[in-house]
Amino acid sequence: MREQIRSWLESGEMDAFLGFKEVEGHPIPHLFSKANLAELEGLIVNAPRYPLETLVAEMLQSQPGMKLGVLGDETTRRALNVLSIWNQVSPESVRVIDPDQFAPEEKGARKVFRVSEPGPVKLERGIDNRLGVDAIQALDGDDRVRRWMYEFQKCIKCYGCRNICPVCFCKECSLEHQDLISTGTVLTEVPIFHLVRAVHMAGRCIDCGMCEQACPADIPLRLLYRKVNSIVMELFDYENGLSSDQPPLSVLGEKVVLELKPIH
Amino acid sequence: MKAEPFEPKILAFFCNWCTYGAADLAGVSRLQYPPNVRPIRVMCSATVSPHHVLRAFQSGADGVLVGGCHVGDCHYIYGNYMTIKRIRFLQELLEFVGLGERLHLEWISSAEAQKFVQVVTEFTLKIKELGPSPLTVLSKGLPAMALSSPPPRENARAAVG
Repeated sequence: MREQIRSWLESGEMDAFLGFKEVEGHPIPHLFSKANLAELEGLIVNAPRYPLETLVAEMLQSQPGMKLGVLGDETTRRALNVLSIWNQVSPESVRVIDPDQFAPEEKGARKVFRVSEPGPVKLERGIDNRLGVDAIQALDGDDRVRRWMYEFQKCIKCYGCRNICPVCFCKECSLEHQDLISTGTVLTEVPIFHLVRAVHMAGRCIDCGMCEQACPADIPLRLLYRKVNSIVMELFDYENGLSSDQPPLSVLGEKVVLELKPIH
Repeated sequence: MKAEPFEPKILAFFCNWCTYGAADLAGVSRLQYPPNVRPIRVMCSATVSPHHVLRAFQSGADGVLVGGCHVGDCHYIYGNYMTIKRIRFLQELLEFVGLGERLHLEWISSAEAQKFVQVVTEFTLKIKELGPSPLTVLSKGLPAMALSSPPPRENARAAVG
């Protein structure tokens, strides 16, 4: 894989390659280019998932037309697809290099995040992050709202879920809109903070799970957004990152196919 | 003392061209309907963002009603195409976090005063059956949002001194 990247960089087929380099024991995002080919030896391929897509979008906006390679996998492809639908990257400028393609025998060697075991209080009052959407849906309505609110009220409003998100790019964020959500104050307003974010994930979330990993309060965000994705799939038949159309809540559509929900 | 019966607070967004007209007609026709609805006139039901609905629930609304023109009758031609997408999505999301069925969307034209009365009456009845919004109930325990039985306070105080 390193040889392949080296030859691409040498031949100019790729202007730069975004990967990770070990700096004092930590994998740090690093841009490899023709000028520093020797550094390719230090390329790390099994780094934990980090939103390189955000860096790609930033780089392409400052230098449009640049041919960029980026270390990634299927989620990276989907994230870049979403970003290109939202006009944040031009798909022809980026090539995703998946280490698994080069060394299939090492597949799975990459560090993956683990969901922590819930403690007794979380089990009693909150939501086990390992549960699926169906398991939550099976809970009684009152219990469900209590459990979700328990999870949401743990939020310390660090904005980590938004900051790590590879498909969040808006310059003005609803989560900082003074009329909607007050900034600079804790406690977090529950549940509006998380539900506004969930609404914005409709047609965008690629289920990479980084928000949940970044969350210091261990809120089952991935589970919430998985539900958002399944609603979008059910109502609009749209799969984020795989469909190349505009997301359903951004366009009017040709006709109304949905039915009103009756009162009873 | 007898407990006060629960009177829900329902926030309603009515579009200027249809549902607000129906509300007007209902009033002029002296039709009776429950006074729990607080209407806000909007130019089109599509101007109702999910943010508005979420803010309403956050501020203590027990229910939210959105009224727009029938599909094909929208004053802005396609406005309600967006309304139904947004509201249906939000209904499913609210259902998932346990606030389900407190958001309702209805198409009511400006001639349908009877339908307006019927929808408002039925929706109010339904919210009355559902009871106060769980957010209002739970937030009384904020910041800890104590859910099962809270730790015995007196003992804690006694321990401190």
